[in-house]
Amino acid sequence: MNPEKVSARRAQNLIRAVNPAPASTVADYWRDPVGKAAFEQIVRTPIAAPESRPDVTPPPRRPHRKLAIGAAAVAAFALIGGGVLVNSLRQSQPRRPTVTAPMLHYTLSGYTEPAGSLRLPPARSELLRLAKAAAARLPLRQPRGATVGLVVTNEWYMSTAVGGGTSTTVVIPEVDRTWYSPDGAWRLLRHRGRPIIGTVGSEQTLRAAVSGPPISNQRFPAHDTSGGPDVSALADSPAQLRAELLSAPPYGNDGQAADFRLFRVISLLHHQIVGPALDAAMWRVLASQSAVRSLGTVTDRAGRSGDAVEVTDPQAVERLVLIISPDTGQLLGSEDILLKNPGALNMKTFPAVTGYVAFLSDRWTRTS
Amino acid sequence: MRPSNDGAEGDAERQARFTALYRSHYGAIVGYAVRRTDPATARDVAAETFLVAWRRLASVPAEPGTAPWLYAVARRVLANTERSRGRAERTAAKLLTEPEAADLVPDPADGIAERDRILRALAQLSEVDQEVLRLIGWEDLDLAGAARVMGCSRAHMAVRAHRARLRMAKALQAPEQADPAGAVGPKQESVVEEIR
Repeated sequence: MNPEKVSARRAQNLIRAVNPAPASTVADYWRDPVGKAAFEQIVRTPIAAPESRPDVTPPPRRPHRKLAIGAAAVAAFALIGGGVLVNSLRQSQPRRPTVTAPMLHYTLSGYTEPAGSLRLPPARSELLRLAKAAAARLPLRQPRGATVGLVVTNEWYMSTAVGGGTSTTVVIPEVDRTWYSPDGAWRLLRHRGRPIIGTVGSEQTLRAAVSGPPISNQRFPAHDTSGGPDVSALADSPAQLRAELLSAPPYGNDGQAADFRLFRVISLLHHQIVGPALDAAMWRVLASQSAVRSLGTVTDRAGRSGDAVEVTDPQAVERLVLIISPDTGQLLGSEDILLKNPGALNMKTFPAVTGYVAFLSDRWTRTS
Repeated sequence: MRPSNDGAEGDAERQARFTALYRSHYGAIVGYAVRRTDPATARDVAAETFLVAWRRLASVPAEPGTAPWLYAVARRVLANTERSRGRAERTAAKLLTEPEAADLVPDPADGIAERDRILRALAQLSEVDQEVLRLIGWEDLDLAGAARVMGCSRAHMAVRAHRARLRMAKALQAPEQADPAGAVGPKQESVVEEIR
């Protein structure tokens, strides 16, 4: 191959490596609800008279594009985390569609849209395989004297600014650093990440959504339980671990179904450094839960390949997803999804993401 | 009966052809758009592109010319969409670069595989240079396909691609891309060398 061709091939590979949407991630989009709806609308469109060149006639629009851009003072600013609804939105909620973070594209053989499906295959064998991968992983290197675990995450929960006649959702991930000391004390340093979607209402509304203190820096004492129990004290045996996870604060007594509590506490505990044996035990615990189902494979929000498992509440409204590396058995992320309209947020498209955590890195350090 | 501009093609045949076209290329067109705009707009761009294809099905070339034809339409649709974006979105962009938003920290996910640095270098190029490199790297088109999308000859595209590569190498080496000490790191140096 001549040097010019070699150089061209290298440049192509360089650019290809930063492709934000590789072909394999979009190949099946025609099957998803948006792709199908667009198809149905297009083929119902009368055929216009021929023209000399391709035109750009107004398309069939998705509902969110009709969102009115209006100027209004901000009436309320609400954060929705963990749960889904807030009452303050019910009173002044304008009937405009609410936009959320993009849904990840799950691929599951035999399913056109697994993320919204209510009949998914059991995840038992998948979780046992992931447990095996976790158990085979080497523990994170811990330099002498480095006893504080540091975990870096991207997190987002739906935040909606509501003004007279306008509601705006801006997807601004937080970049969080959580330090966890051997005595159980922990620190959370929270930055605003770069907005990944800006759906624009009035200037004031947008400003409300992106403003606020740039950093929160909180320290929690050893007896604080909002971060969950110390993972180093948890059992590696699945039976004992299951009991410990189900009773663990802060979800132990919140009345949610056992599967939901397990998913939530497992995601929370991964803000500490979770070793291979404990990861393996956690996946074995989930493998024993018959309600835990497979969502197939997915590319997570940091571009990593993962296997997705889910649990859905009995009313089929809320779905929690864990994304696990098939190679290392590490938890890569968790997603909160709404399967149908809960009413107050005026959301038009389901399933819809209402929150996510992407676990980006972890390491041992000496100080917090 | 629905009016047709295709003459010989009946409705059923027409719909079958369009269905096959849609299934084969919808994902690629969404991909093309999502690489250049936000995901929601990308879906609209894809819908518009296929609406054009539906209305002008007789003009859509057979494979392998189909994808470049669709990309060319999508490119025009996207340009139109970007032009027509209103003041509100310009306000958003302005707000997000104002001091109060400027303290946003870099997303650590960007560090994965040096994506951020390469994308920033790409963003420094002219729109045409970027599009040439993206069509070849992201849409996986050869020079002839990229030329059809850009509406130029293959020879002209070869020249454009060559120049775009040189400018990309230069952008990767530019001072603002270097480390704080101003030196080009070994990894960066090798990438620059590779694409020269």
